[in-house]
Amino acid sequence: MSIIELMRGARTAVETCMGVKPDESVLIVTDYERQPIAEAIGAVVQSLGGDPVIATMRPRQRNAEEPPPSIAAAMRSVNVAFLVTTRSLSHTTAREEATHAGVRIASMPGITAEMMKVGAMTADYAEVDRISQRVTAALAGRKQVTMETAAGTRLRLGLTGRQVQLPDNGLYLKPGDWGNLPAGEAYIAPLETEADGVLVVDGSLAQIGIPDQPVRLEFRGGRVVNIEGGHAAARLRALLESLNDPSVYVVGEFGMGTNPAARFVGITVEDEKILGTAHVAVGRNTGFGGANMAPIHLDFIVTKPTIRADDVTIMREGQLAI
Amino acid sequence: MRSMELARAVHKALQLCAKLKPGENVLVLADSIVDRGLVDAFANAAYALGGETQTMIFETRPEINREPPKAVAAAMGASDLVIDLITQYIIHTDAYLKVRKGGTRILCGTGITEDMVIRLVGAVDYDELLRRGHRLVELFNQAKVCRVETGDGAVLTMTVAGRPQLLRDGLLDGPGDLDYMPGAQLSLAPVEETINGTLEVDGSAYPPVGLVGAPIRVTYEKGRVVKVEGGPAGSLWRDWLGKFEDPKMFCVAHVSIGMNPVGRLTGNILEDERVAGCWVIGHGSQMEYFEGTVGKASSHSDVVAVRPTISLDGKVIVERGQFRI
Repeated sequence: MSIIELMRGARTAVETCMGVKPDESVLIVTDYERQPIAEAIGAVVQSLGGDPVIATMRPRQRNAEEPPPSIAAAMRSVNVAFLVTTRSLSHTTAREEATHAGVRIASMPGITAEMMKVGAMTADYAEVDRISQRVTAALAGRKQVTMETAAGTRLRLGLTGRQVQLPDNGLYLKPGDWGNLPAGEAYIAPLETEADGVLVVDGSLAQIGIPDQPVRLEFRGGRVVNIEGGHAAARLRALLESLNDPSVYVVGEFGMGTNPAARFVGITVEDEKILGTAHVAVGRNTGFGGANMAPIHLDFIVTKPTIRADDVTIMREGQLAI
Repeated sequence: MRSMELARAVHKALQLCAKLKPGENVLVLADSIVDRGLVDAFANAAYALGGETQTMIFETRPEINREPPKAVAAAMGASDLVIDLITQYIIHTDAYLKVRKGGTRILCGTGITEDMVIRLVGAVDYDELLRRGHRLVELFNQAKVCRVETGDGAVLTMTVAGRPQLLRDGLLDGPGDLDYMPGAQLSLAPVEETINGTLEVDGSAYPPVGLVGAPIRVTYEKGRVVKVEGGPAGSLWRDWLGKFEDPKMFCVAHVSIGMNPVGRLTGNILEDERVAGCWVIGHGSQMEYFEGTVGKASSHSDVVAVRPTISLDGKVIVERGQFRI
């Protein structure tokens, strides 16, 4: 397979999003399912006069599973790291330590060749940044956020004392900046004890994809207490049970997509970026202001939500209202 | 592609030579010039053996012994075992020394090709090789004077008593150990001022030549090259030593005996200097563990004679390139 069609997306990632300079050390972490994309990014870094190292590991089995120690050590030692992986390394100690060391990181979990060519990666990132900043400002300093959808979502999340994060705007130009590529979301870690109501997931589920029928998650006191639906719901129940750890049921994130070019593809990294969607995650959030140290992080994406932060309507049936 | 033969040979290299244990963190390291099929073959076998396996590739450096990228140094230090396939080898870098002190084992196969792995690792009886290696160490340990006769009556003598023998058997024995693939060699630094006589080099001389074609005759006095005769290869080699304007480049750094029973003369020094029964003299930079008096020099060059008759205190151990022990 030729990597020619990946080269423009790779160039956007390297030049625009990460601002890689010729004298910077660059690590590209990948696995045996994503190597061509890593090669394309490496080729761009090299053509800019940089000195990339491409590290390949076996694909992790789940999101938030740690990379091997050699790759964790390598991640801390460079200026810029691209995480071109099948499962997400965003919510790992390796990523958190690299961020603390000042490494600029683009986490690209589940990235596909197609995603490099069309969709979210080809967005106008200046526009993504504008939208992201607006939504982030609207979430700042709030006590709670509520979400409703026509599909039946009625959920309240507590935010008191929680810092909204720098938006995932696709521009990671300062030491310690990190986020996804493709990018575009505003997000925050809700209080782990304050999630109550029902989330009807009609968009997609991390590690599972687009559900055969909507998955109904019931939250009580910050925890998922019931999961109903079809095959997707059964797979989610089995996945969470297999981890045998109560922390995986605890709410971990509230986020809103801010990328107008993102499409539904059944892969979280793009789906959760779609402008007009919102997502709630369970699991690890220690990397962005939360307190839940879990072995996994799973996002659930809903479409066309109406979202209120305290008394301000941020989104009405999928349309930005701010 | 001989993928099946390669898989078997690589499995042997990892299990027998590198002593890979299930659960160990294994890093297969290469520069961009190395064939990816070879890198993958090592990674695949390491994974099959239960290793948590990573590969790392970086751009081929213009010279040997440049410090590797920081990410590579960090990753090496965090691994239990490194399979180092880097062409522009980094064996003498600070990063390498630090990693070894930290306990990482390294199996270095710099310059190795698929063909070499199959023949020189896959087809070798290591038990036999080890037996001979230990016997050689024993004989050199008891010996005072070594005599090497090459070509038509060229004779070189030297005192070997009091100098440590280094058996590079190709096996990693514990944390921090470094060895090479393919094996194997016995090396030592003879007492410098006792190295006198002439060696006829009928194999290779590298750098810069490779296969010599017509033999070169090198004459030594008190451990230094004083005369080089024989054709274009001879003058190329002498000029190369001279271009550093470093008198140590003409000094004998070590002598070695090759022990790989399937090695043959190919022009690749990595293989040539390991051909069973060959005699090698290294010139220039001398590693510390030889306990010699030459020390660090500008570079290093080896010459290989493939049909030597080697004797210790009068007892023949190699006769015209064939072991007699």
